[in-house]
Parts: sequence; structure tokens; C-alpha cells
Amino acid sequence: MSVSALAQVSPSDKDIKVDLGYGISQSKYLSTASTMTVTGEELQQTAAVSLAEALYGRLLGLTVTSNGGFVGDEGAGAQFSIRGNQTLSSNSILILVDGYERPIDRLTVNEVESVTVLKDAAALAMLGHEGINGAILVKTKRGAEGKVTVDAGYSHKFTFDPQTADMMDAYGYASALNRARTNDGLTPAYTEEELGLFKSGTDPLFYPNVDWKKQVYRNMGSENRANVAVHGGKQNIKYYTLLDYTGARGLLTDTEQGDYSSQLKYSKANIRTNVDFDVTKTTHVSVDLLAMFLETAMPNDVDANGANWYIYKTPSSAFPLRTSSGYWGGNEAYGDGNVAAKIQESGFQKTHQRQIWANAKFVQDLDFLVKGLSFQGNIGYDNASITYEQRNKGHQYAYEYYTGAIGDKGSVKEVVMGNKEQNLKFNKWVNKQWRRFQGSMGLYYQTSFRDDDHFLASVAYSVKNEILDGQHNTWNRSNVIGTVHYDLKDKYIADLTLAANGSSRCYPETWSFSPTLALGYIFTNKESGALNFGKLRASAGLLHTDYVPEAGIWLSKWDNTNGHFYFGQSNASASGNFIKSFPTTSFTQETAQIYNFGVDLRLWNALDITADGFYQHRNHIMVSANDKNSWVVGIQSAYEDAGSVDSYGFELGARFSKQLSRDIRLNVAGQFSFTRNKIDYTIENPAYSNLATIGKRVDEAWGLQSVGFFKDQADIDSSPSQEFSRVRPGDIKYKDQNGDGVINEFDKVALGCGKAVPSINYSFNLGFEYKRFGLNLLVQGAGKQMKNLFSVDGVWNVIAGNKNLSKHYYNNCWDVAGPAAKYPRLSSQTVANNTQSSDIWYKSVYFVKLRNCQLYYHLPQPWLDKLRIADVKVYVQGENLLSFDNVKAMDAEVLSTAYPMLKAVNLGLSITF
Amino acid sequence: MKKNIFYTIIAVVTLCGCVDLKYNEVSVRDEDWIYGNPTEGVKNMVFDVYALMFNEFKTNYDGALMCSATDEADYALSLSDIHKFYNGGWSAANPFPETWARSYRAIAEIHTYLEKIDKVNLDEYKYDSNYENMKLQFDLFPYELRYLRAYFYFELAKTYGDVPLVTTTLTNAQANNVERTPVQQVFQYIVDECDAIAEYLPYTYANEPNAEIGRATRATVLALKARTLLYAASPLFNKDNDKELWHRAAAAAKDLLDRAEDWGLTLSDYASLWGQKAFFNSELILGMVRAESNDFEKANYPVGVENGNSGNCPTQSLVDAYEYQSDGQTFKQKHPGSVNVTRENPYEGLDPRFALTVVKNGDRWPSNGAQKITIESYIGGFNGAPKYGATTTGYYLRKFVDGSCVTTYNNATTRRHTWIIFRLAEVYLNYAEAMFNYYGDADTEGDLGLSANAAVNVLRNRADISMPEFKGSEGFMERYRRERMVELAFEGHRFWDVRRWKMGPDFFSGIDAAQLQLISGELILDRKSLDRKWDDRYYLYPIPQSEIQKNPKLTQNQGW
Repeated sequence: MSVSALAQVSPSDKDIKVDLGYGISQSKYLSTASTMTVTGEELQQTAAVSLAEALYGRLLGLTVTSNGGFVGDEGAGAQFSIRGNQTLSSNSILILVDGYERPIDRLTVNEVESVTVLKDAAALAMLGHEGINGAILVKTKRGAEGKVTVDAGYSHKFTFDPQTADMMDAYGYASALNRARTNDGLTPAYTEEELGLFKSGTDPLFYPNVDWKKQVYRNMGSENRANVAVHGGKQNIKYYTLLDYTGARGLLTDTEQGDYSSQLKYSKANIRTNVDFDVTKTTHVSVDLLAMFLETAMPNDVDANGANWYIYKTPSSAFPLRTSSGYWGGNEAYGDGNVAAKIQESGFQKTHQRQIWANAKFVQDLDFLVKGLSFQGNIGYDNASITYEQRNKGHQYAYEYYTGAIGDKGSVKEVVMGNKEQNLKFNKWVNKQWRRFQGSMGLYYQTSFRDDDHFLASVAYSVKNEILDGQHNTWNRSNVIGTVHYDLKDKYIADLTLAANGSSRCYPETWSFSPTLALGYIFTNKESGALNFGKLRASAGLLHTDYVPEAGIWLSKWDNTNGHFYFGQSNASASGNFIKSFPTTSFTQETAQIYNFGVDLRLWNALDITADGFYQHRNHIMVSANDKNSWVVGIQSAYEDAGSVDSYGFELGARFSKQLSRDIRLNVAGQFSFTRNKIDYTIENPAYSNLATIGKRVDEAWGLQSVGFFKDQADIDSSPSQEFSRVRPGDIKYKDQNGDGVINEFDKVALGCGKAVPSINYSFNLGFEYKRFGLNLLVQGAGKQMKNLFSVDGVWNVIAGNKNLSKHYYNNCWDVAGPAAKYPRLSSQTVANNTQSSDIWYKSVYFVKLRNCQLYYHLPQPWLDKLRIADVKVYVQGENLLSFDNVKAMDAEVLSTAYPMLKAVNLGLSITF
Repeated sequence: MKKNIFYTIIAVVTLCGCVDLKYNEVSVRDEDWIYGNPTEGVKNMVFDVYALMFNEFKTNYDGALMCSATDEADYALSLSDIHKFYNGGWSAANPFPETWARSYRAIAEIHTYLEKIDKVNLDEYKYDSNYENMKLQFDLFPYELRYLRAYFYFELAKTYGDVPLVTTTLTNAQANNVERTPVQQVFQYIVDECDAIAEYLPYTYANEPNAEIGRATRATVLALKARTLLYAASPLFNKDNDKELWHRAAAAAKDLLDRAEDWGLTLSDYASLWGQKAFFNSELILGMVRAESNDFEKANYPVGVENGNSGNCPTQSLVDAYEYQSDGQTFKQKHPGSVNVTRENPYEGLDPRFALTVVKNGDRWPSNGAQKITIESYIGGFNGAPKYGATTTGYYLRKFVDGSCVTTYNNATTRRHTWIIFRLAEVYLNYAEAMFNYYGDADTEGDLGLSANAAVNVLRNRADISMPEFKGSEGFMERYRRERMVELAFEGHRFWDVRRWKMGPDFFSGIDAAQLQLISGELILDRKSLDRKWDDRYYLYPIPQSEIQKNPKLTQNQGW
């Protein structure tokens, strides 16, 4: 990695191309679209296990959130959104690799040339139905003419410090449970004598104090990466080949079981060859292949998220790790809930995943027909499957209790429960598969009418056939697209795209017409002076999506899901048929009007600034009419294309890059974005105006507004009645929003923040190079996102249902913190009054993290020359080493019981021959 | 070369042209398929309505039955909506909408069938050897569906009082404009329908094609009619105290009692009402059977039994209602205060139905050999508080729980469970209540030829019960209410009976649990009041507020 790579993505650099799909790429300089690109080289600053994980804070306008989880689990880790939520239907974005829709959670950073985010109508116009919410475009590396070059690398990563909330010890939990039961009017669970035994720890088999986190996690996990790339080429053949191995081992403890290990495991090999042939001087063919083999493993009874959940589920006082006779600890209240048994003695599961991506490109210059004309055809076929392999094993658990006096070892009874089966049993199944065929072809024509202009025109046709798991997951799509580009004097730019988008998904409304116009004006472009470059961009487009809420909506829907009816001598059964919903007789495709205005500036030949403002009006969103039709009709309502949503925001990016002296290079960049959305119209029938969703966010957090906690019975008696459950002192007191004198669901209000995506995102990037040393830092933060604390078992949703209790909750609950309490009283029961969604539980979170840092050193050239090595770089990288947030108890970014996001240190070496 | 290029272009064009935008997978369940396959499509439309009937083994509140919203039981786990029936968590905003939504869905399904009956065509099976049988079945379906429509209107009426009486398929616009029909008109509609269809239905399916026992019989229709008239005559709905309604109720019940024996309906052992064979019990008029399972046992076995969750725990108030076989005194009459269970042995000599309904401290339970233990339900006992999820009342449920089901991880066993919709004993009780209320006397035989006392005594004289006979009229209603509570315990009647009697404050506030303590080796029973709230608006459910939003013509029930 060199700092100079960071400087490349300057808006004034004519060599940087932006690929907009279907073989159309524009120079960034003459582009009118709102895009941003990051190079693979820059992404290598991260020690990310996959490309998806490398994108936090890298691309302005792309929000990457994490839902935690182990890397081997499907859907774990990074989730993407572009410019926030824009619709009531699907907000998922399109991810393209080399022009084909493909996932990037298993792609390695090594094989990536660049990643571009496409944000506005001008950038998305050619991507059809799937691109309406924005797109990410990944380009993989290709060979260049030159000698054979070999890049080899190896790195080893230590992962550590799983952040979990601190939980109460056995004595603390037992005392709190007594308190909770007393609050509920129940008898205490433990006598003073028993509490004393928890405190002293003198009878650990009967009054245990188990640190379950230690039973789940060891100190250190690891990741290993090794790769060899060979690339180069001659005039008529260029190639890039890569063999990459990535392995990860999780943090679970005591997983070695002699003949097998139940450790969380991830082992993957990516094998890639990208080859470009010049068959003749005018005929160019490219063939790319990626084969991916992936194996994961985990204990049979718990996955990574499950193991972590048990820390929050099981109190230290619940049961001992093992009983005196060696059975796993457990009891009737916690059942088979010993996480150590699940990790160590439940056998294991493996997944085996294979993916093959194959695509070919054929380009024919047709200059011999018309000067400037060419033809391009693309065909791609991808196929993936995941099979499960299970080798499970049972285990028994037991608990002991004194039938006589406490401590009388002569009167101990042991109850044994659970599965006696001790042999590994084999099972296997196909879990998931998908396959896609994608093809396109087009004619491209470029010419100039004068010596300072360019005219480009194209017409392209594309098809896609996509088959995912299950019924109603097979879709065919087709697009016909015409584009015209014209620029004059390197000053005036215009792009027009006319697209017809067809899809079987929204049958019978199969086709839509999507035009987009974008204009650019370069008002200055000179080497001297303070302002070296300035461009204004404006785009407006009408795009469509083929999303429908369910398959076959134009039909009366017949269903058979009311359950079975049993009859007759032999208990025969039949599931019924019934008409579930009315047909949706008329609708049009969901439509987006997308507007973007941007400016790109370059100052003092060192500072690049880009700013975008955007507005989108989405309408024809299909929403169910159930909210306006009485159940007396007995049949669910049809959908109506009644929904509309407005969204808007801005993005600001700046990058300063300068060679300060012969030896020192500095690179500083910052990004900031803000998004907001608002429901413009939907079908609703609110009983009170405070319940109206129109005007509120799509992902708005709704809840009651608290006004403290009930002080005493007199306080309860003098307050409006709360219709959730019997309230006691210490329960949450709510505000009567609608003035009807009682508190119930109708007093909920919008809490003023969205849940799905943080509406503020920012990052700060520093690069510094001195001679052969270099340093990179990426600080990333997000804010203004509501998260529901109550969804986190054991930390905020405590005790009731036998859950654990966090120190944080205990110290801030009404019983302990008194007037300064943040949370209601302790209770051993589910108190419906307190479990309502409210501003006690919904919290607007923010966090700032030192996402990556890297220190590297290039070995001195004279040493290497002797060994005929071009370059050797050694580096050390850190991940998530520092973080700050407004949630005290746990990581605000992964606010759940999922396997936490880990800290990591990575040591690596890369050699170029 | 040019030729090659040309071919390549052709090849690409061909490949690209091969997607079909008209492609869709919606090809299975549409109207053509339904009516094109009568034996599956059409017949299963009928079965779907049956499947929607209220069956507490299938539809309950996280394992809690309606009994746990009454003085019969208390649900041990706090995570259940059942507690909202009495803890103030019930409102028009949070309305328990299941009966409303499900009944109107079922009614819409019935209308869909009845209105398109001309589309049912069995001609293609004409040469099938089974054709005659099929025809017989299909001829019955319209009558069965009309019975089911009456059944769902009864469920709606007892729950909400006045409800929109809809008898044809509606459009959304029509449904958003309906008004509530007075409840007595709804009851009359049910009775008229029962009268119109009863004689078309067979009295048993044992002799019908495929012996599809479980479908509605003639007795089912008569039982619904008798129950409907009893409710119609009851104080909650009979606002003008029209005595004649009691006579109609008695006559309807008597009609069924008179014909029952001819149809093979006879009173059975109390213990045969549940278990593997309960579906074929001679007393059962209509039941809903389930696939073999032990879910109900897992939910209701005591904590401490592997996978037991305590579930619906019988109250002391229920135990207090059982009488001693010797003198007809109740448990409470004999033991009004603190009881030393060890010395006084108060459970000895109680009505045999007690031991069949309730698991008490010291019982050997569950009955299967693999799991049988001596139940300790006292505070600090193996199956008692303060263990998480232990009984809140000192007792565990035995009725409907099949003790032969093993719920251990290994070697688990499962059994069929039959939810009783109608059984003969209820008809005797309905008759007795109606007769007494009509004549004001329990020994009058009247024009129907059977007195209230005689009807109750039929039940009390059963071989495995043999309780002292009811005599005289003094305190009849009080004794009758106890008898009805004991006989029909946990069958889903109590919740509605207390409401129709308008006796909520009498029974549903101040419910007692047993607090069992082991003091110096002796078991002491004290009564402890459960935390229950009664409000007179609870007599009828609130119409869901969301429904009133959609149709302002729907009025709200009193107090909501």
C-alpha cells in the first residue's frame, strides 16, 4: 500500500474510469453521476476477512452496519444500505461484481481492483429494477502487459476481547432475585443461609458461582490468510490468476474432543483466473472464472450467536458446571441449558459451500463498418450451493439437591435428565442454493463532430434469469437501454439514458419506462491558482422496481395454512383450502423520482472536495388495504399502490493529499453524510392523531413516552390507569398522549429517530508515509439510530423467564438507583406494563471506532535486489482497537446477544517477485 | 473472420432471448384447481372451516387455557396473555380479537362455498366405484357448513353480544358499513338454522362412507341449539327476564336427551372423557381430536418432572367446590380455615372427580412408570415454589393430562388429545338449569317429564361417581353451580357460565390458592387470595377499536 494510491481518486483525473454497467464506462472527469470509488489497494489497509467487511467508512454514501456474528455464518457481519431507507417495500441494494449480480461476503480483498458506489439516477439508470436503491460495483483485478509478476502474501491475525456486558455474580443475582420476587409479592427464592453460601462459595456444587463467559470464550481466536497471485501478459494475452486461502477459528473454549473439534471454523479457498485475449486486432475476448470452496464448522447445539446468548441467559447461580458425579449441570428451570455441554458434547455441524462464477466477454470493433462502432456481448453463469453435514450427540444433565438439611451430604438426591445417546449420529441436507444466468449485448458508437467534443451513443439489451431457494423465487428480467453522451470543450456535459425495464416478478405489469437526464458543467480546470478544478453536476431520473409484496397478487389467493382437521377411526387429517385474500387488480410498478445535485472541487492541487445533495420521491408503493377494511368481510384485502415516501440528505467528502517533502507524504480525508426519510402517504386508520404514520419515518421507532417511575401506591392511584397489566411502585409511568385519561397502545408516539440505518455517518482517514515507513488510520462513526435495548436478553430484558441480570441494569434499576433510576423495578415476572416499547428502551445510539490502523515498512531495496525480489512489505494492522459510544453496558454497534465484533491484531508480510 | 463474428453475435442474441417475462409459478391453488379437484379442493374447503373451530389444545395463550382466566385455575408462567383477562391489561386497544377475526373468516369461507355450490361437479367421477359414496358426502356438506356458521355466530354472540349478522359474501365496502344485530336476533337465527338442518344430518358417521367421525351430526346441531337457548335465557342476555326462554331451553335439551340413547349416546365414566380413546367415547357429541403429541403434558406436568412447565394449576377455590361423598358437604364447608393436611387428611372421601381432575401434594404422578414421583407441591418442596415456574396454587392439573405420556428426552411417548365441544353431561346440566329457572322448583317434572333434580342426579349416580343425590329446591342454584363447575371443569365453560349468570364479582374476584407449608414435618394448608381484578365491563369483550375505526357504525360495548 502506498499513500499515493489514496490520491488517485481525484475528480479531475481523466484516467479514472467509472463503470456504469453493460460495458459503458465514463471517465470520472466527464461523469455526471454521483459515485465514489475506492481502490483495492486502499482496502488492503484493513485486515478484513472479506470484501464486505473491508468497506466500513470507506465509501461516501454507503452505510455499512454490522449485526455481529461469526464470519462463517451466512448473513453475519456487514450489511449495506445507500442513502438510508427510501421505501416501505424493499430497501436492499444491488451488488455487482464485474457487471454481474453476485454476493461479496465471500470475496477477498486481494482479488479486487476497485469498489464503486453508485448513488444517483445518472449512475443507476442502466441497472434496471434491481438498482433502484443504489448499487455497489466491484471490479476484480486483471492482467497488464509486462513481465510475469508474482505477488505472495501471508498474514496471521489474533482476534480477542469479545465485548459482552458484565453480569452479576451468584450472590448478586440471588439477592436480586429475592428482591424481584418480593416486589412481585412472592416468597423469596433463597434464605439468608443460602445467600451466605452463594457469597462464601463454600458449597459450589449446590450454591455455585459460575462465570459462564469463561465457559464460552477462550482468550484468543485466529485468522490466517495466504495468497499467491501470478499476473502479467503480452500484447495479445493478459492474465491474472490468484489462489487465496482464508481461515478463521473462533473464540469458543474447550472445543477439542479428541477425535473432533467443535470450534467455530471458517476455511475458504478462492481460485481465480481472469484472462483477456486479443483474438484479432479488432476482436477481444475475456474469460473470467472464480471457484470458491468454503467449509464452516460449529458445535451442533449452538452456533456462535447462540453460545453468546447463553451468557445472557444463564445466571452464575443457576447450576454448577458439573455435578459431583460428573454429569453436566442443569436443572428443571434451565433445562438442558448448560452452554459448556452444548459446546463440548453435542457433536458438530459443518457447512460445505461451493460457488462457481463464470463469465465471458466478447468485444468486436466494427470500425470496418462504421468508424467508432463496436459490439459487445457478455454472458455469465453463477451457481452456488450450501450443504449441511451434522454429527450430533446427546448428553445428560443432572442436578443435586439436599433432601434434608442444607449441607448434609448424606441426604443428597440427584435427578438425571436429558439424552442418553452418546454416539455421533450422521445427517445431511442441502441448505441453500442459487443460480443466475445473466447476459447482455450492445452496440456502442463514439465519434466527434469537432475537435473538442465527444459523442457517445449505445443501445444495449440484457437478460437475467435468477433461481433462488424455494417457490416464488425464480425471476426473469430483461432491459433495453439506450444512452447518449455528449461533452463539449471539456466544459459542458450531457447524459441521457432511456431504459425499458421488464421483469416477471411484477407480472402482469411487466414493463416500465425509465428515462434519466444528467448535466455537468466544468466551470474551471487549470493548474495554477487556488481553485484548480470545479464541476457542477445535476441529474434527474425516473426509475422503477419490480418489487411485489407476494407472488401472484393478481389472483384471489387460496391458502391452506389454517391447520389440520382430524377425523375418522384412524385419525386421518386434511389441511383445508380457503380464500385468503382478494386479488390486486390494478397496480403500477413502484416508481422513484431521483434528483441529485453535486459539486466537485480541487483546490491548491491538493485538496479535493465533493458534495452532493439529493431528494427522492418514491410512489406507487404497494401497501395492504387491511388497515381500512373491516374483518367482518372475512377475506384479507388486496394491495393498493398507495404508498409514497420522500427521502433526502447530503454527503460531503474532502481529501487532502500532498507530497510534503521528498520523504514525507501526507493524506487526510473525511466524509460526512446525513439522510432522512418521511412517509408521504400510506394506508392507515389511526385512532388518534399521535398514531399517524404519515409524516414519520419509514423505520420510525414507535413507543410510549415515559414520565418516570411510580413512586408509591398513592402515585399509582392518582395517575391515569395504565392498561397493560397491574402496576406496582417502580413500574414505568407513561404520558397520556391522546388525553383520553387512560394509557394504552393508543398513547404511542413517534420517538423521533429511525431504527434501520443510522442517519448520520462519518469517517476520518489519515495516511502518512515517511521514507519506507507508513501509517494509516481509519476512524468511523455513526449516529442517530434508534436501537431497542429491551431486545437484548439478560442485559435489559432481565430475570423474567429465568434470564440473567447485568450489573448495568442492577445498578440503574428503580430498587437500587432510586430517584436516579433509568430502568424499572426488578421483577421475576413478565410485567406487560414495562415491556411495552417506550423511550425507556429505545435509545438513539452513536459510536466512533478506530476501525483500522496500519503500520508498515518496505525492506530496503539493496537487500532485495540481491534476491531478485521487487518488494517486501511487513505490516501490523489493528481492528476496532478503540471505540467510544453512548451505551455503557455493551458495544453500541452490535447491540444484541449476537457473537460480538472482535478486536484484532494482524501481522503480515507481502512479497512481490 | 467476419463470418465468425456474425455467428458469435447470433449466438449471443439467441442466448439472451431466452427469458420469459410471463413466467410465474402461481399454478397450484386457484379457483380452477379447487373446483377441478372436488375430492381434495372442495372437500378441504369444508374441512378448513372445521379446523377453525375453537379447540383449546390448538389455540390457547402460550399454553394457558381459558380456565386460567377463571376461578378454576391459575397459569404458572407470567409470560402469557391470559393474565390480561384480569390484571387490567385488557382494552379496546388490546382486545383479544381472535374470536372476531377467526369467526368472520370462517363465515366468509362458508359463504364462498355455499354461493358457488353450482361449481361443484362430480360428473368426472361418474364411473368411479366410489361415486355414490362421494355424492352422499357432498350432499351433506352444505348442511354441515350451515351448522358451522351457526356455531361461529354462537361464539361471536356469547363473546360480543350484538354482532353483525352477515349471511352472504360481502364486499369490503359493505363490510365497512354493517351494523350490529341485537343478540337475541342472532340467537334466534342460530336456532332457526339448527331447526332447518338438523334432520338432514346423520346421527352418526360410523355408518357413512369412510366413517369420518368428527363431522357434525344431528346430535351436534341439537346440542348447539340447546346451549344457544340456555345462553339466550340467561341473565346477561335475557334482559327482560323472559321466562319462556327458559322453557324453550329446557325443551331443546330434552329433545336431545330423549333421542340420545337411540343414537348411541350414553354417559360414560368420568375418566374416559380424555385419553387416547376419548374421541370414540360414547358421551362425546362433538370433539376435536389432534395428532398424537405430548405438548399438553409438557405444558402441564409439574416443574421437576423432566420438561414439565406446571401450566394450568387448579385453584383452592375449585377444590373448595368438591363435596364429600358421605354427606354432601363441600371441602370449604368442612375446612373453612387453616387445615393440617397431615393430621386431618381432608382429601379423603371427596367426590371421585376431584382425584381425577387435580394432582395434589403427595400424589404419585405422572402415572407413567418412567417419570412417576411423589409430588411435593408445598413451599420449598421438589415441585413447589419458590422454584421457577412452580405451581402458584399448590395443585397441578390432571384432567385432560394423559399421564401415560412420557416427556423425557429419550423414549418419549405421545397420545391423542380430544377437545370436547359438546358432551351429553352438559345437556343434562343445561336442562336442569333451565327447568329450575322456569319452574322455580327442582322437583317439578313439568310437561317435559323430568325434574331439575332428576337430571342432575343422572350425573351424580354414574357408576364411578356415586355422589349423594340432589334433593329439594333449597339452595339448588348454588349446588347446581358447584356441580356444573366440578363436572365441566377445564372444558372451557366456566369463563362463559359466570358471565351469563352475571356473577363476575361473586366468583372472579377473591379467588383462593392453597398455600402449603411444611411446618415441623406437618403439612399446613392456608388459603391465599390470588391477585385478580374484576370489572363489570368484562361481561362482554370490547369490539376491537381498529374495527370501529374502519366502520364507525359499529358501537362499542358498555364500559369499554
